Amino acid sequence: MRSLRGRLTVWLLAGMGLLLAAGGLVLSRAISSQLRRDYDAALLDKARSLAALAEEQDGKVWLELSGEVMPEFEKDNPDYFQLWLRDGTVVERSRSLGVRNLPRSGTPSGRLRLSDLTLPDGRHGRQVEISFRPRSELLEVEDRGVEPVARSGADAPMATLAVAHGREELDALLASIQVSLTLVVLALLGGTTLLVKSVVGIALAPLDNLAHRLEGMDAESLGQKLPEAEDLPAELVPVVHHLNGLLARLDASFVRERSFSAHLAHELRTPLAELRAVTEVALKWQDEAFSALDAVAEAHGIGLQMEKVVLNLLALARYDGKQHTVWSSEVSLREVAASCWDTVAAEAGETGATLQLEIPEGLTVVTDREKLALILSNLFSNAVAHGRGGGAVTCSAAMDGEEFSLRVGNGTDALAPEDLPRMFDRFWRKDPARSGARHAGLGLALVSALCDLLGLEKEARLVDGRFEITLRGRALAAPSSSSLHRGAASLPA
Amino acid sequence: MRLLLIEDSSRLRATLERGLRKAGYAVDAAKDGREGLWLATENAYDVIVLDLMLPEIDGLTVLRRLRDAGRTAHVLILSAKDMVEDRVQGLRLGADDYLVKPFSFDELCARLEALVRRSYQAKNPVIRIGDLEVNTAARRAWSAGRGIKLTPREYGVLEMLVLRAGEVVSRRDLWEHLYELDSEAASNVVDVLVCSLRKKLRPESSQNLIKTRRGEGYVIDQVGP
Repeated sequence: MRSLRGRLTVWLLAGMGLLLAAGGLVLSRAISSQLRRDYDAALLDKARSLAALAEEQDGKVWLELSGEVMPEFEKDNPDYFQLWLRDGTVVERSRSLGVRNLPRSGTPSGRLRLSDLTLPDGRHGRQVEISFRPRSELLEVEDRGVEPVARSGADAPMATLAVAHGREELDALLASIQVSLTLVVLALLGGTTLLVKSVVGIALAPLDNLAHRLEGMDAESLGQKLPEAEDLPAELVPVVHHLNGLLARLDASFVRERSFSAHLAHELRTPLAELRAVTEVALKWQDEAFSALDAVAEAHGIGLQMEKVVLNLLALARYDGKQHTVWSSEVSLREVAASCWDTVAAEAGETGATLQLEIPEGLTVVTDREKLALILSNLFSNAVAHGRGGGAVTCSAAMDGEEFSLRVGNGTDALAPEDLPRMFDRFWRKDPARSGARHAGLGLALVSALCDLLGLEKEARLVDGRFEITLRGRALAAPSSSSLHRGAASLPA
Repeated sequence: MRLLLIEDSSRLRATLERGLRKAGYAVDAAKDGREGLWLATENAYDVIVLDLMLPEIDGLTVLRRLRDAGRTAHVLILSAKDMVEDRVQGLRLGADDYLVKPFSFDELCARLEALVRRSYQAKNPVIRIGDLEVNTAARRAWSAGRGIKLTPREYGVLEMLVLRAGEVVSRRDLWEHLYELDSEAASNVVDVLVCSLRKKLRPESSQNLIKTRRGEGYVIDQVGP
């Protein structure tokens, strides 16, 4: 698993390491370069000093050097020099060189050449080679009032002077600087590691806290909000905000799920208890007046009731999964409403409910007739069962541009405005006792699922003691023939 | 034994009424919490079988009001609610037992018998008085080892008297524990049942186990086996 902390630490350390290494390298180069320049400058100064001692007179060149003036050409680990004429004739050597030679490259006049070499005594060294014309000296008589003047005449022969110096001190200094810089870089890298770890830890602490809180959450604590404190990093504010929204939705889902399970359990446990009691009592007293046939009839009724609940649940599952085919055709709203009322007429007869149909003749829409009929049957059945006894159930429809609205209403004393949002929940019933086997609380849930399938908007409201459900949808022009939409909720163009 | 059944499912209520009457209980039934609470307050029941999800007044409220009113009848909750917290809440509010739907009718009967025995501090379902032996679980009686064939009402009278042995049980108490509220049984039916019972208990003996206390009722004296 890729860790944010690990990645941040590695990348920061790698970046810092590279920067430190590059910085150390540049610094080392700069210092080395400066030291070499200083070293070469000193060597060159020495060479020029020696060159200034070279003299020429009458084509003869010589260099007068006293060991006291430049003792470094005398002692152990000495420096070396050698002076040649252009033709390679050796004019002068340092005493330290003896009969040995320094390498000569024949540098053009006025130029100098610096190079590394192995000194005659085997040490590493550096050599500067300069080409020059030795100065000519005119000896004037002091009494003539002329000062002695040094000159470098164009006719003087060219000479080449090479001065070599051991570079062990320079190399040791450079090595020491490199070691020091390496140690400093490593120390800085170590310090940076600690710093990066600490900073990453501090920066990611709110994320850790969030993860810790989320880890401790379960189905029971989904209602608890994550704190949106002021010290929460700005980057986490939208995360926490959205997480809280998600948790609230999850909590609501869990509550609905628990409520659904509890209601489902009740809707199935009660008929199961009835079934078991009916059969066990019948089996226990087989010879009594309550015959086995009566028990079978009771069991059959219970079975039908359970079947209705299960079939409705399966239908809901299929509607949710859009596994139903929408067969669209031209449907007369008045005709379909009237036929749906017939399916609840017997029930309406018991309660004295009557239908007040207020749909104009000829009002047609294009939709799935069977599913619209299922919607209306459920709404009528609901209105008859739960409406005010003996009241009128109204069913009206109207066109508004390309849209139609279909409204079913009934008088009610039982419902309150706070019931409306939960009305389409599965197994919702106003009666907390969930008495009566005829309605399980799935009718309006089916209406809701069917509306979604047909692309109809639904609205439940209470107006002056009447409960109304309004469906709205597009009533498109009637097609010449039936058209089929698989799983689509919208109507054909 | 007299029992009140408060259950809103008409089918289950009718079945249990029928079955429990066959099992020898005098059963009154109520379809909602309000009716059930009224019946439980106005009458003395040995056991109340109470559903929790009831119309009008829910079962837990019925139970709370009964206990607040000082009613000590044993209450068995019969509910589809099966969560531990539902059971704990019901038992803490004063219920004596809790049975989850669906249930076995035999188990319901056994639990009701246990509650009835508890009413009379009888832990052993077998009660022996002299050579009379009554098994309240099997609802059967033996006299000197001989099985006695009793009608459910006769058994009800005998069970009531042996459970309250040594105590005079009034005719009214016996009637109330044998018949439902809407029963049309005559007021002397208890005397008829006791007479019949005496004959079945000691057909050849002139000595009656069940003694009459004039103006008070009937009693079976507490004697050792």
